[in-house]
Amino acid sequence: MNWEIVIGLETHVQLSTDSKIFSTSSTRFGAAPNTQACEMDMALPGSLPVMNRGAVERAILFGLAVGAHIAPRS
Amino acid sequence: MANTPLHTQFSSIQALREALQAGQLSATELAHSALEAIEARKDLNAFLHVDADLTLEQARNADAAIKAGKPAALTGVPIAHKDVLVIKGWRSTAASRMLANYVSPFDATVVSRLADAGAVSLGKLNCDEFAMGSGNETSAFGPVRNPWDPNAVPGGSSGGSAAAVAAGLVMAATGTDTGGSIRQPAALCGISGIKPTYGTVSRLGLIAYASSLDQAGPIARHARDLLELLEPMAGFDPLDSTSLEFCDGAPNGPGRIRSRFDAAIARQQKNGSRPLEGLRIGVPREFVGEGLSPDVAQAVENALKTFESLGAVRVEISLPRTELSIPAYYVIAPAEASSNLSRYDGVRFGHRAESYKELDDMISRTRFEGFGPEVRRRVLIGTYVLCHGYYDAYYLQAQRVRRMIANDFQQAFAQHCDVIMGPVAPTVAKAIGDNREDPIADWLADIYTLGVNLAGLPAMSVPCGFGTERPLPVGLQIIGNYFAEGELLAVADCFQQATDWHQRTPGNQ
Repeated sequence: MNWEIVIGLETHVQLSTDSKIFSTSSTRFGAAPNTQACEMDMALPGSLPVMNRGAVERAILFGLAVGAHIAPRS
Repeated sequence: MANTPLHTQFSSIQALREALQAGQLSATELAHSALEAIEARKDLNAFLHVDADLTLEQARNADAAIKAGKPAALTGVPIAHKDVLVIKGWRSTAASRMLANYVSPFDATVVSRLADAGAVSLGKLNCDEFAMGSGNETSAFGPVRNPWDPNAVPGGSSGGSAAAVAAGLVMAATGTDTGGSIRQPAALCGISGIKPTYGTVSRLGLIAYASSLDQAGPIARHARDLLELLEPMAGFDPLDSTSLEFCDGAPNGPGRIRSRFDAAIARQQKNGSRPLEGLRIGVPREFVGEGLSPDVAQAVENALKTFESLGAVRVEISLPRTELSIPAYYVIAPAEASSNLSRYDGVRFGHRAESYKELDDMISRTRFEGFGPEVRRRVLIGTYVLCHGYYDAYYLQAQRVRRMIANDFQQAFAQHCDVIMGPVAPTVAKAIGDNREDPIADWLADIYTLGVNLAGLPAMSVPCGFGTERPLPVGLQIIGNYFAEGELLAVADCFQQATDWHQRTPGNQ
């Protein structure tokens, strides 16, 4: 049999944003316990996620860096 | 009726505002009289939470603002909120045992916007549990009674809101509409309600049921009062990712709806005795056929004749996938509900079972105890249709049907009509307890309202008559194209200038 070898890499990277990806809570390392959580992180009734703009920008930058195609709308 | 609240002497929010600002009565007097009336009408079970201290504090602030010469649009106007909207300092239960003692640390955006506009909140209103139901019978805190007949349901899920307005306990109320939950109770209680275009009103602080369908809106006696509430409620909110910044090119902000309402009213006035000259009303043949009770059909027909006498023309249209809106909705809404309600696990907030073995046992006991049968039913259906292997057959297929339903509406508006009219519900209010053994019967009765939510369109209900077999109110549904809230309210206002159905009150038919 003639197999073609395709290897995918899944890489997890901690982003350098100031706040979490779906909430405004701080991501500062080493802060006191329970000081960096908000309604959204606790999933309190009525809370809604808002996408972190900085995370999207970093994802686009990474895409551009590896020569990927960036969809202008999604 | 004893304990008639002071605000019922005024035919509109505008008239009440003028009296307040002229110093003829105070917000505190209004609040006291409404609190007394709410206490006297506990039999309706419309309110879940009343806090006189919090209400009177707001009323005193309203009086101070008037005294200082700085009243806002709704300063001193007594309203109340459906209990799926969270308010800081008040219990926010979604009419569920799961949240029986839950107090939110923040305000829903619509609540804070109405508070900023000066409205005084009289409390939290009963509804179906997590807004899942169409008769207010799934509330963990008991059914609400229809002010027109204590043995009839008020409709749902915003049943407490509709009952409170119909009984005159408040001037207006907030509701939410995921599949008809503003329009249907407004119809069954003989008052008016509007579900705005999806994305025009913030969902932040609305306890989520089906996020792609949920939308808050006002319930009041007539179109002009709806406008008074909807105008401050609507607006872009950066904290809700589905909130729209622009509507038809206009900023989603203050004055958007009112300016289109005013322009439509000006056009009506230019037309003289036939104010609606040229308005094309599409009547879907699927809305007036089999399954519609004859007395509702007759009331709707009479309303359409009134519109024709006002200059409008009637066009028969077809919304061929109307029947499919039921299975599509009852796949999509439960799917979203199963996801939205997964947070109620007894770990961080809300109800937790008292005795349990390990973690899984705690979660399942908590959810079994905390959720009523209708919520459990929808969570189970939703979990099932999202299962790996069934997803394509149910959820994806339902989303395709949803798109086709939205396209059918767009085709109708593009080719045939300016507004669509028909019944809101197939019958007048049923008796409390009917259909208890047959939950599907209630789902089928949502047929005329679900398509609007699936398409994200604005739609309203206005009272248009009474049943003959049982003399209970009938509502006319008016559906518009995206962002046409102002035009819809102007069409409804024209009808209400020509009729007096909206002035009928229980005990004064």
